[in-house]
This record gives sequence, C-alpha cells and structure tokens, in this order.
Amino acid sequence: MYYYFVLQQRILSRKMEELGLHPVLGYILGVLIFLGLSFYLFYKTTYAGYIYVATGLSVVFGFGEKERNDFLKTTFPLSTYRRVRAAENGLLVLPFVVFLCFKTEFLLALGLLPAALTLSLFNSGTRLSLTIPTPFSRFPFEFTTGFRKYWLLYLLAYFVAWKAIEVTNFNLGVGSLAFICLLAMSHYALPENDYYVWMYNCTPRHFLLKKMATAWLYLSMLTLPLIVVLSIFFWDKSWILFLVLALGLFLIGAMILAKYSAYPQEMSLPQALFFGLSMWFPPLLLMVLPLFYKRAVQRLNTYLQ
Amino acid sequence: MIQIENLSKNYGSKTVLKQINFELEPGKVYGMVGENGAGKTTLFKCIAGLEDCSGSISSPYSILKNHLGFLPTNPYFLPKITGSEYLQLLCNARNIPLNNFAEKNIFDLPLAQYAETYSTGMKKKLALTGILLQKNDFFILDEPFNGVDIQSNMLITAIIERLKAAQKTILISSHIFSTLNDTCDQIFVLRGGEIVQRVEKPDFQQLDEEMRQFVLGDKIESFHF
Repeated sequence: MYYYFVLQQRILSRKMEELGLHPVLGYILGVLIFLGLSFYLFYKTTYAGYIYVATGLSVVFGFGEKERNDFLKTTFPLSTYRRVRAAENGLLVLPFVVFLCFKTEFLLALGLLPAALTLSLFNSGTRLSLTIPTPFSRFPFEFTTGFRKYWLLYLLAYFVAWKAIEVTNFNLGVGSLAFICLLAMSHYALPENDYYVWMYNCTPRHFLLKKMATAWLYLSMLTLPLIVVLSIFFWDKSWILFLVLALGLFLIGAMILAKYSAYPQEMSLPQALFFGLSMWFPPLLLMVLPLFYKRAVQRLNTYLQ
Repeated sequence: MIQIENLSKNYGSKTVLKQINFELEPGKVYGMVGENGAGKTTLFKCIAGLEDCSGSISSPYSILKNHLGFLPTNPYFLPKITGSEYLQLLCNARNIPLNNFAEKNIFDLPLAQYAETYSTGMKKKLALTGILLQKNDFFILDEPFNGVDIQSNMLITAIIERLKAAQKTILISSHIFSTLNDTCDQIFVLRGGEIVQRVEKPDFQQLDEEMRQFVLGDKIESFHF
C-alpha cells in the first residue's frame, strides 16, 4: 500500500516534469493556486462553503472510476483495496477540510471527511450501454465525445440562459454563452492518439482548416439558438452576444492551433498559461497565432507527409 | 511496387531494426513472422510513417500513407465514439463520401454502441472494416486474426483473398502459422531486427517445422511439470 502511494507521487512528479515544471515548484504552485482560488471563492460568495464541499466531493468522485477500481481490486487483497481507497479519498479532501476549518466552517468540514470516506466504498462512471445521441456524428470526433462527456453541463448552460431571461439578467445570459464556448474549447485540450492524425490524406494546413471549420460549425450550432432567443429578449444588446460568439470562434481556432503546436505532447504549462492570459486579453493571442500555426504545421508534417 | 531499402530503426543506442530490405508487389500477400519483440510492429509503424527511421521506402504513390490501410495490433478507440462514428471518421479522413454503414457491416457489429465497449475481436473487426471502407491499395495488418472468432477468421481470410484478386498489396503478421499458410505468397522471418529468411509458398511447411524447432528447442525441458 505504501509503494502504491510512492508511485502516485512519482506519477504526479513526472506529469509536472512533462509540463516543463520542476516538481518542487509544481507542488508550491499547486498549493498557492489552491489557496488563491479558495480565498477568492470565499471572498466572492456567501455560498462558498457549499460550493467548496461540492468541489471536494467531485474531485473524490473522479477517483471512483470503475476501470481504475477494477485494476486496484485485482491488484490488492480486498482489505488493502479498501484502505487504499479510503486513504486516497481522505488525502484528496484534506486540503478542503483544513481550509474549511480555517474559515470556521466546522460543520461542513466534519461532513466532508466522512462523505469522502463513504464514497470510497462506491465506484462511479460505470460504462453505460446507452448511447447518448448527438447532432455531431457527421464530423467526429471532438464535439461528439465532448458533448457526450459534458452534456449535463451544456444543459446547465441552457438552463442558466433561460433563468437569465426569466430574471431579465443579460449578464447571466452572456455568462452562459461564454461558458458554452469555454466548454467547447475544452474538447480540444488533449492530444489524440497519433493514428487519428496519421489517417488523414491532406496537408497539415488543410488538416488544421478542416478541424477549425468543424469546430466553427459545431460551436455555432450550439450557440446560435441561444443567441437568437437571448436577442429576442435583449434586442438592444444583441450585438454583445454576437461579439462573444465571434470571440469564441476566434479562441476555439486558436485553441486548435495551440494544441497541434505541441502535438503529440500536451500543451506545456507556460504555453497553457500564456493561452489562459490571452483569453483575458485576446490581442495578445494575435501576436502568437502565427507562431502556433508554424509550429503546428511542423509537428503535423511528421504524421501527414 | 513498394520497395523498402536499408530501413533501420534505433531507440537511443538500441538498434531494433537493421538494414531491412524487401519488395512488395501488387496482387500478392506477404507474411511477417518473428518472436515477440523481433521488431514486426516497429517495422510496420516505420513503413506506415508512424515512427521515424532511416533508409528509404519508395512506392508509385507520392505519399504512401494516403493509400495505406494500417490495422494495428491493438486498435485504439476514442472514448464515447460509436462504431458507425468511428467508420465515419475514417471515411471523412480520406474524403470517402459514405455515411450509411449498415450495408458495409460485414461482421455484424453493433455499430450504434460505443466502440470502446467492444470486445478485443470486435474492435479488430471494426478497425478492419474502417480501412476496407477507405479503399486503400496497400494494407498492413498486424495480427489481424488475434482475438477474433473462428467465423470471422474465415471471413478475414476470404477478404484477404479478395484484396489479392483486386491487385492490392497486403503485408500481414500473425502468430498463427496456419493462417499465413492459407493466405501468403511469401513469408519473411524477422529475428533480432533483421530479415533472416524469405520463404516461398512451397517451403512454408518446412519453415513451420524449422520455427517450431527454433522456438521450442530444449527450452521446455527446463520445466518440471
């Protein structure tokens, strides 16, 4: 059991190294980001405690994934498996518990720990035989898989937009639109297996254009109904909605270029940070897009020529 | 004709393929045999362009891989993609205008289900269907018979025969010698990253015997059952 956790630590360190980050710096940065976000959350909303508990539990939930647990069950005796899972979940929520105590939210802290330990007894993410229908089957795969993974979040975004109309809060509507754009961008965050690039019979430039055209088409399909409905209720501000869509289309294109500029690796941390910064100030992105494009073409040349 | 000349591959200081030379003609089926780790999969990946290597691969096509259907040993499937969406993706990639796969579903696969939930054999059959739909001229099939039921084995053998009759070039690896015996015109023996033998059809049985001798030898005697 001890060796299992040593391995987990090694895996984490290696992932940081792959991101171009020294592990020690990574751990320090991780703690600082965690603290920064926690303070920000508690500063921003009075419901922070509940959001915090939900976040902690959602992290733990991911570790209950069936395949991973099947592997652990076949590797360890049942009693060791139970201890490993309990220790994992306990360690994962510990920072949340400590911060809740710091914020004198003792009741929530006391609830979170046993809830996390109880979750260690259950497996999540059992493979569904049910196929979720999607309007994106004609041009797989990013939106097809992304929609099936996050359809609940898409539904939530539409619900928030509906609420925005109900309470006549335009900003809420813009927020839901921006959220859909961000969610769509996340479908392009990870590099796919090289077979799925290699199989194309086109030049890297054509490949990138194909990917972008599909992303633009499908993002428009997801957002235009929302924009039309919001425009009916907030007619005078509809130009803002179209501006957000234009920005979303620009950013998803940039995301594709950024992804393939690092292909077959994941984007490095500096690259991801720069991309994150550019989202706050898009003109910054205009400067690096030619560089992303040039590097993406170079990387793709290995597989497509 | 596809010509492979002086193909070599190193992983750091370790040489996994040494000066490989062979030619593949249209309308012929070639087998590649060798122990695990002999370099078969690496060689296939090098020919496909999925691995960097030295040497040259010449073909009548300007870009060989655009005419190549590659069936990997363990085909990788993206999560939450159905069988028909996988086929759609492969057709889109080669600009094949096809979107109804019911008729082409020769292995009776549950195409509406997520491909990742398929069994090993079903995955292999789906991947094979995909590269057949792409209308390739050259096929590399890495262990096509592995994990596949006997009926599908017969079907795959028949498909290979059809491909051969259609003047396609096929390169197969298999650990099941009888399947190679049935389908191949020539077999290459890969050992330690080198092609050590080329055997024509009349000598296949002799090769089978030689391999049995080489593999088994007296190794099994060290075990006391």
